[in-house]
Amino acid sequence: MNSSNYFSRWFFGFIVLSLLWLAFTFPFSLAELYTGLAIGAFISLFTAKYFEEFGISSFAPSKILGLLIYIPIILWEIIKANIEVAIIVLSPSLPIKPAIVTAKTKLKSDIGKMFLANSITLTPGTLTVDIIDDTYFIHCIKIDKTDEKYAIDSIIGKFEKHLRRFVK
Amino acid sequence: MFITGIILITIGVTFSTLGALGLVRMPDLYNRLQTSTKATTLGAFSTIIGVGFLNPSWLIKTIVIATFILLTAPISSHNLARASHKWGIPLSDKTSVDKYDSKAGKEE
Repeated sequence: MNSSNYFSRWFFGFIVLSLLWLAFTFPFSLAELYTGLAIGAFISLFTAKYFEEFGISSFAPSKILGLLIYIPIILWEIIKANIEVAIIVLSPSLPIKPAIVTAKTKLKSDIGKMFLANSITLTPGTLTVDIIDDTYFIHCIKIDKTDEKYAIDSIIGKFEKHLRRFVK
Repeated sequence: MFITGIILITIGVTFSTLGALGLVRMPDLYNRLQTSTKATTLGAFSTIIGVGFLNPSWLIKTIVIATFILLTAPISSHNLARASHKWGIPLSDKTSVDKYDSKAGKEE
């Protein structure tokens, strides 16, 4: 595990929890702000041991930029796939061709694999059934070919190249 | 603001309805999970954001809530599918290939 020190991990958790708290209580009063910061600091004392693997280095501008670019891309993919599945559901003949295919990823870190698996599942029409090492087992509602290369190109490829900008 | 909110809620309700229709029409559990992810993504997501647009002081809160839905919904879908496959719930006859079947035993 590429771990950073305890303080840096605690600080990362503290910042994230505080930002969440600020977003939730948006027109906040000063008393609410202090309470939120104190509770955030307290909670991240306990979670720092298990989460926030990379500490403050996660705030590097290139990583944040990568994440900000990724959000509109995945939203666009979700909208496209939603319309595709809506057409399948509405057509009288129900033109589905389901299969469970395998696809290998180049991502190394756990957090990267998690992002990719969640992205695949969020897109309607594809669903991650299991991950064993670097192999994804993906259930597709409609797929033309079942060989691995086609699966990598059509399902994983469009997310992976953007994910590699901010996770390993 | 008002018009955007109404449009987003209409989109959300439409896709939730289509998700429910898909739940009835699909032949097996796995394909039903596929259509229900549609109800959670565009359905719940744009309904919640639409409420935020109707009442702009809630907008930031609704975006946070929608983000949490987007982060947690796929995990439940994935777990349902994985548990069902391990339990041996069959796939529909239309399924062309099941590559998970041969490898599932090795993991234990």
